[in-house]
Amino acid sequence: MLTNRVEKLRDRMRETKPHICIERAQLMTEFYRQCSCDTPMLRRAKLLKYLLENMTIYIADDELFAGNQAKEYRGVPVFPEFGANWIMDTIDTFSTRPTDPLMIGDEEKKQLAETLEFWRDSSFKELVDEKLTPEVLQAEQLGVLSVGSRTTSTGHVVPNYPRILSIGLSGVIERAKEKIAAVEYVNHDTQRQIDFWQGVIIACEGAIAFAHRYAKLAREMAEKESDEKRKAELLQIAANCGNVPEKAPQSTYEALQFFWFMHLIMQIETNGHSIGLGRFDQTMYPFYKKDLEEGRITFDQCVEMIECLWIKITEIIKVRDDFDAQAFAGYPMWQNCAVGGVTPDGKDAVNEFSFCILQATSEVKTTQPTVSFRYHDNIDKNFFKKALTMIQDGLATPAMFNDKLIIPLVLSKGATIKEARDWSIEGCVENYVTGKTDGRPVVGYINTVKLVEFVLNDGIDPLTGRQVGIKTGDPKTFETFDDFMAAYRRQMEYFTKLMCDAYNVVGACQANMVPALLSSCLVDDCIEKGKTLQEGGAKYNFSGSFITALANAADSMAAVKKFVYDEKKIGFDELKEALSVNFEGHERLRQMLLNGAPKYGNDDDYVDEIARQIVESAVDEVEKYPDSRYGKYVLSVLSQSFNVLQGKSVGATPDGRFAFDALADNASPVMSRDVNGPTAALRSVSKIDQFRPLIGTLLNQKFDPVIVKGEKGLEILGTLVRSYFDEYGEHVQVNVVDEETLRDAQVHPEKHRNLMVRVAGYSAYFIELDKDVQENIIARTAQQGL
Amino acid sequence: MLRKHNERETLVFNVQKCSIHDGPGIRTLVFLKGCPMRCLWCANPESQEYGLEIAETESRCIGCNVCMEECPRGCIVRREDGRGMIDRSRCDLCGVCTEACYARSKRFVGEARSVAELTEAIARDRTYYTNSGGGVTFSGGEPLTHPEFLLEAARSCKELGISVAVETCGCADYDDFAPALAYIDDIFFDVKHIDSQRHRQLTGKGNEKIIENLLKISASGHSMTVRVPVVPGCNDETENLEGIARLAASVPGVREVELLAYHALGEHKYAMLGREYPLKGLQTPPDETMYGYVDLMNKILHPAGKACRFEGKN
Repeated sequence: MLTNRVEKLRDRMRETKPHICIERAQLMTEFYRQCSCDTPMLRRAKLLKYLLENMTIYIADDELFAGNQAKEYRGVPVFPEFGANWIMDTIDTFSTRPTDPLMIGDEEKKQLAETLEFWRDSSFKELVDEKLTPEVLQAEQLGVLSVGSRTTSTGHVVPNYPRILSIGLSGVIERAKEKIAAVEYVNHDTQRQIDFWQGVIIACEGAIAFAHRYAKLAREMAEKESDEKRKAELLQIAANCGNVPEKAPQSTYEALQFFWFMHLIMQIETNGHSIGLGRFDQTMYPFYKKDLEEGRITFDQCVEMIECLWIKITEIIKVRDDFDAQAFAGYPMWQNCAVGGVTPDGKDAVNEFSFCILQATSEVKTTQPTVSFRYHDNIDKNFFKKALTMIQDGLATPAMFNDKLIIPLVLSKGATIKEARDWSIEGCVENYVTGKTDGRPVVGYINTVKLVEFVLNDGIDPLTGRQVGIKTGDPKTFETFDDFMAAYRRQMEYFTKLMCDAYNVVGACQANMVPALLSSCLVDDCIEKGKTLQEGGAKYNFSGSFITALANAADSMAAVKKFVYDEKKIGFDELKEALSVNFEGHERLRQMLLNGAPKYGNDDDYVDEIARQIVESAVDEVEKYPDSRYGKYVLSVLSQSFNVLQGKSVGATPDGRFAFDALADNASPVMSRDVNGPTAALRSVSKIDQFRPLIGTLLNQKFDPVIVKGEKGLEILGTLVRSYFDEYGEHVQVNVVDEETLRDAQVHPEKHRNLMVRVAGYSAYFIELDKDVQENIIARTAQQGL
Repeated sequence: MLRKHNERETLVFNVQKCSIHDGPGIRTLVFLKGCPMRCLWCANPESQEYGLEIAETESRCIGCNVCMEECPRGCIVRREDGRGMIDRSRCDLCGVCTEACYARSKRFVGEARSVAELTEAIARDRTYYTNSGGGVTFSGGEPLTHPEFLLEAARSCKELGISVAVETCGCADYDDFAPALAYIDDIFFDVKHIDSQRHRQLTGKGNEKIIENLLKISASGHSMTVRVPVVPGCNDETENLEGIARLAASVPGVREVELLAYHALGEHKYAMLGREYPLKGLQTPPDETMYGYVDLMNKILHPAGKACRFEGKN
């Protein structure tokens, strides 16, 4: 049951349309207008402090936590330093675009345009793009791949909250001072480190000052407050903000306020997304336990606090361009919160705070944070059941993760066993050691079925006639299917290198131009190493890349193998002719391709083996290269909703798909081609060697509510999850919703404001999604009661 | 020896994975083709004949007409809308049209599957069976009328530790199928009408052999669920349901009765096979009515320590 307070807060959030807030852009531009010889490191630290000291602050009615991202409620700040031209080019369409619209008034639009003019051609995006090769930019433009982190910071920060909460920011400052004092010999390298530590001190001081501003504001508000209850609350908020984040928190409430300040300030510092909560139940439990023992808190009070926090977390939105808004529809920020799992010594880690989190999540129904459930065989049965019940109720959360597979994945990324057991998610499914890793998984997305197109056309893009891929030869000269696959691998080799080379430029520029100081000091071992995250300060460094359209590529190659090689029913000329005219006049051939060849998602080894090889080839290629911090490139099978967008750059394909149709999402089978029920679909995906994509394999499943209803339905859901995990699947997320409901939501959005669906590694309100993405979600085969 | 048996084949018309209705847990349903009965409400008309058949799905036809050109007997007739439909009076099931039809508008129902091949397909979901207490359910058609195949298939599943259930109309020769019983864990046994004459009108067969088999299987020590498909106007009269309840109460091997509500979901398949659906327009009995029948039967079953159940839609 939601409390009155939470209901009011939530309704206000839902009823307020996100709108552009220009304050941050104006303040930061003012700051940058002042010339300075400072290093980017110190300049960024001082910028943050300047923002925190000058931003408009407020504490809204009924709120329990202080800290706002923008000047007005649900305001969306702008980060012109990361990209200005695209905002100027598209600002007029923000409020009318179909996906994730953002409101902006005329006067503000004018002022923002003036501010952005200062950044024309000189923001991070524009400066970095100048350094990229024409080849990679062309490949990106044609939908073959993308190169990430150009309009945003690297993001993906999961702080070591247990450490930070135990010492407070004053402890961080002290440690930075010790490090400076310990420098014996200064050269340009050590001076760079000193700049970093000084930057950390400035950033932390800014954060403390920010909190103190709220303490003062809350006291002033309390004085004027006539309602005694609210007055007491405001005084409590004042006390909290006076204490944290400067000092270590003394209660659950303070610990949560501390967390919120850090979480928020990182998102004021940069626009990097996927700022994670880590293992929130493990971090918060000691405070909760102490409060419980001392009779200072109840379960319900704790749940209410978490609900208030979840609403605050959902308020965080950033400005995205039209492309990204479609690729990542539903305003997602991938703020991921892990629950459950095991302790560093291998025992079940579920505690009472874990239950508080699920309870709050199931009641408040916000799209953020994304809750990731760490399943293992000894998990508390009631806890597992609670999670399944939430899925059964159609909440589309939590997402299920497999400790049994992920602990080995984290181990093989170099962690100790205790660290490996302490993993959480940065982003969607990217598993890393909590608080010690910079995983920055937005290297880019390679469109696998586009590569099949290149193999068929000797590297020429059939849509533009341009030589985009490398020349792998006329396919007619391939004597066997193995030759065809070898050509595919060569295309993958070429584009992977193109993407990684480009991303190394981006990564290096992130370090040199826009380092994130506050984020850095929260992650181990940046302070010890004297380096930012962007320079490789974290203990573990990775760059994660993605592949999309796995199922289309597998189905396409299976059709080629079967009809061209095994049965010799068609030749490449005939196939290519049919594809080039989008099957017009070749419907019978299309039917053969569609119905006659095995399709991924049906537990058919013929095609599943090809899918396995596609993933393997992507991993083999990406792991060849060091990233810009000497970290390692790793792979995730993950598409977000890029599959809809990238489909628009691919002509007709040998799997019988028409040109420009959406591609399959993530590791899922092509929409409505998995016709043998959920077990067969899960088994196909589990045949991918999921030990290879080191940062995960994302699978969506949709169930008709009829099949999973009641006690038996819960058992079925539980069995499907456990069995998929027994066969070493990393992750599965389940939407329980029938088509009728989704269709009704399209017609009567007002009746379905609560309807959440899983898009990829995140949930979104269905009614906020663009029509194309809605259709795509509806088309994902609903596994029905058989 | 085993190898030879593993090569034994029979016609299977469907293998349905992840079924949750016919037996405990998550199951694979194997439908064997051919049934001695002809129930008016049969939802799987394609299961009735023991031989291959050709099904036509009109909506899938793309009008390419290749089947018409290739049919050696010229028995595919072009309709006004351009689609070609089989004149079944002249068709000899040669199957040329099914091979020509890439749209799978015309396709064979039934495929010869060997025990070995089928076991491999069933075993794929072993993890799911283990975690849910599920397994395989042989259905049909009438699986007990494929006694040798059933024996080998059930045995080979049991050897892999997979639990085996059978769904039967009870109309088969006991001596033939008795050897298979040793490998069967669970039996779902249909009793459609207690009165043999009425039974014959509804299904084409009397019920004497069925009731005799129920008793014999019970005597062999197996426990069963008796299932009654409740079909309005056919077998939903009080006397019949009470009679079945009394029978179930008295037979020691029957542990429960499950009612299934009539549904017309198989109706479109009659058209696919060029047949008329005998119960056109019949409605599914509402859940409340079904629960009324459950109460009725429980009055008789409860004193015997047994119960009747029904899984409604809501």
